[in-house]
Amino acid sequence: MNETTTDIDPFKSVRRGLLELAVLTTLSRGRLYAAEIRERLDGTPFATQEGTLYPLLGKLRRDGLLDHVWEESESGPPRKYHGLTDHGTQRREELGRYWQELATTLETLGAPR
Amino acid sequence: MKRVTIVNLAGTAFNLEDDGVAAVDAWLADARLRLAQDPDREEILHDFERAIAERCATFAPGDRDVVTGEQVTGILEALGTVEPASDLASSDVADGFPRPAASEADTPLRDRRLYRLTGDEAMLAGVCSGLAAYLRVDVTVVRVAAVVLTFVTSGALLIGYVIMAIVVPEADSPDKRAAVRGYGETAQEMMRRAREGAGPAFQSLGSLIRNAWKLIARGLHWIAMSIFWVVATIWALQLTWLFINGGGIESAFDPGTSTWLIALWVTCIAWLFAATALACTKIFGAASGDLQRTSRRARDITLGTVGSVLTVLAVLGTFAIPASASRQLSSLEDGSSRIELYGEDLCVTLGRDDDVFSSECRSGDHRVDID
Repeated sequence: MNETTTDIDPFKSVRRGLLELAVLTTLSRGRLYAAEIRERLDGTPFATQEGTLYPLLGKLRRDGLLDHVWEESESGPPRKYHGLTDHGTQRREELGRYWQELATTLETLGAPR
Repeated sequence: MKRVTIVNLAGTAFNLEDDGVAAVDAWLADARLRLAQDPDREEILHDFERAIAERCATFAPGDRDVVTGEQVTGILEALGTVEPASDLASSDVADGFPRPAASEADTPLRDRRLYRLTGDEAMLAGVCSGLAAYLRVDVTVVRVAAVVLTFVTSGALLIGYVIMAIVVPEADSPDKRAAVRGYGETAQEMMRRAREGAGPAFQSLGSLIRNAWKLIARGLHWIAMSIFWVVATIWALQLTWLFINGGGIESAFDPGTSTWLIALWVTCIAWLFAATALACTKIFGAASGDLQRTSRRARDITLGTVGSVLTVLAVLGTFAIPASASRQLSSLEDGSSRIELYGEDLCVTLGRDDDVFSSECRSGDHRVDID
């Protein structure tokens, strides 16, 4: 099962590894609730379903990268608005820089000496 | 037409079609298993419930709007399969995340174990229902087989039943009840079994027999009820008659029998019928489904026991009293040569002017009339 999926989409594991950075990035400009994060990711290579997103948000909160505040919603139950903690902002910048570094490295690896 | 259930999703009530409710249950049960190792499991499950509620709200904004089963399926598909965050970190897992080991421990593949299924499922000690669950056969089939085999074996199976009732342990916890069948009683399991179809092939036959029996039992219950009240009324009338006007019923008895003995005898006879009718009322009432709650079952057992004891007493009384009454040398009517003798092993010789008549009663309640 794992092999066939890998055959179909060889980049899945790459995206998966970067999903954390993607989620942190969506929150860089302010608090969002889970459905809004999902909407931001929709249509990008990082499109994610709640089934994956919620446990990830839980893990990021446990790691101290995110926190949340409750806000009443006009329709339905109150919503959890997630936001970056200082540690989260720091981590996002680190990861972003690291990703840049990796990209640059990949470019320079193929460059003529 | 579909049934609708009102469910509480994250504090808001929604009208969901029943298959939708089952689907949400199954999805959440599945999520619970997949998140077995997640420390935030409960919170994430609440988040999921809120997400489902929010999407339901878009389909059914009003109080009277109904979310259909298809819509629920759509919602659950949009939420996707739950993937624990720990799996995202490990690079070797691409998709179709295997369940974490802890969730396997939650639902071990249990071997079936034989227990007695007591409570509502049981008729007597729960041996048949336990056996049926263990063998995955409809319980009615087992019961019918047990009754037939009891007759075939001239009652030997009854002894087996009693032994099993004593030896086989009772399933007194949900875990044990599940172990009889070999599966857990989670929503997910139930969904899976529901999808698999109607269960054992005996199901339809079993329910057919059960429904027929229910109908018959209802009729017998009604008849037993009627008999009970008629007998009780007659009994009351007889006793009243006996005490007001001592001569009425006495004429049916041997002359000289004491009024108290007659009263006792009538009482016993009345009890014989009344207790039998009462027992039938309880048995058939329970079988027809009128009395199904556990508290009532306990009361039925008590009444049934009392009824049985009284029946036995009544039967004994019926035989004992007339026998003792008949031992009394009853009457000798002056002025005539008619002598009535009652009793066992009497030897009587009677003489008259014109001829001599001799008679012997060797045994039993023979009656000798000499005119």
